Amino acid sequence: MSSRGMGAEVLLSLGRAGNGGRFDSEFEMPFKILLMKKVIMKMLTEDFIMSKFVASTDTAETQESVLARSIRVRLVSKQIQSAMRARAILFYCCIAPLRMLMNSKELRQEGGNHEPLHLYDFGKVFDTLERVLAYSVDNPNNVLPIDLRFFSIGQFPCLENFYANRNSRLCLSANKLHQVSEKLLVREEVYDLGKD
Amino acid sequence: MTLRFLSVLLLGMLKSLRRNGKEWLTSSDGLFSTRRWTPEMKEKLGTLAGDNIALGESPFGRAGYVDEKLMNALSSTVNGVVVGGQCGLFQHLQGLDDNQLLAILEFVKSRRDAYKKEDNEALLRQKKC
Repeated sequence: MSSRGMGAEVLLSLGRAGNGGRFDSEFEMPFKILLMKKVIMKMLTEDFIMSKFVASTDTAETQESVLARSIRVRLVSKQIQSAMRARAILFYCCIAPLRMLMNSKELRQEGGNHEPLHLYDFGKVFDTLERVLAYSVDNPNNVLPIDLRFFSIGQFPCLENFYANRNSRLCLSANKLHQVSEKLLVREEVYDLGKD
Repeated sequence: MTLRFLSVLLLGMLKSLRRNGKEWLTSSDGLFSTRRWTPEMKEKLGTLAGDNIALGESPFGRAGYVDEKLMNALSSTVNGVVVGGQCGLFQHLQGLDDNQLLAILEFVKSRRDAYKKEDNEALLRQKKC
């Protein structure tokens, strides 16, 4: 990436391929891919142009791979983008805080003096989740504001630091020279529906 | 189009929640729903914190990682390495150099039959139980 002059872009880890399919991964990966969509497309498009218009004796080096072509074609599809955006939005507003509530270790790492939830508190978590989901099924616009919280701080004070950290977190670029506000990036790449 | 996808996903999540988590939902009068918890139960289980990483995901993640690294290893070997790691078995090996690690591996290999016998006996005891 750095050799292609893309070191200033934010790159996120997509984890190990061996992790396999998990419910939360299906929501988390589109979120991360959308945040990196521009840089991925730039790289794949450059490869495509090189393979088509730059003459080289070494065909294997310049030819676009089947996988790269497949990803490029899918990423420009509006349908795929919409499907990814829907999952990414649900990850940001629902899955991420839900996962945090279920991981006392991660919750402690976020800081603050609030105790993680007890086993019996999960009834309250599920009741809240059911209420918001039931309302949002008929009103999907409800989940479009970036500051929507499925789990409010009033009900779940242990999430206070998680939300605060998320709003102020900075993402480092690949060359570690630039910083971008994560929330700003999410607003532009995930929550901006554009000509959807 | 995103809104249509959102609507479908939200409906799917709601249906899944009502099917898989109904025992926790007040609307289903579930066995573990909030209003079924008595003060005695809360006091007794008060020290248990919700943590799916330690209880569920982490061992599977470690097993996947070890399986990938060892390649062609038996599941019993993977199990041994993961459980050993969780019990802190390898912590004291961190300061050793390559020669010392090699010596330990040679020692373990030389006692393979003895360990295998112990393992089989333990398995037999479990089956009897």
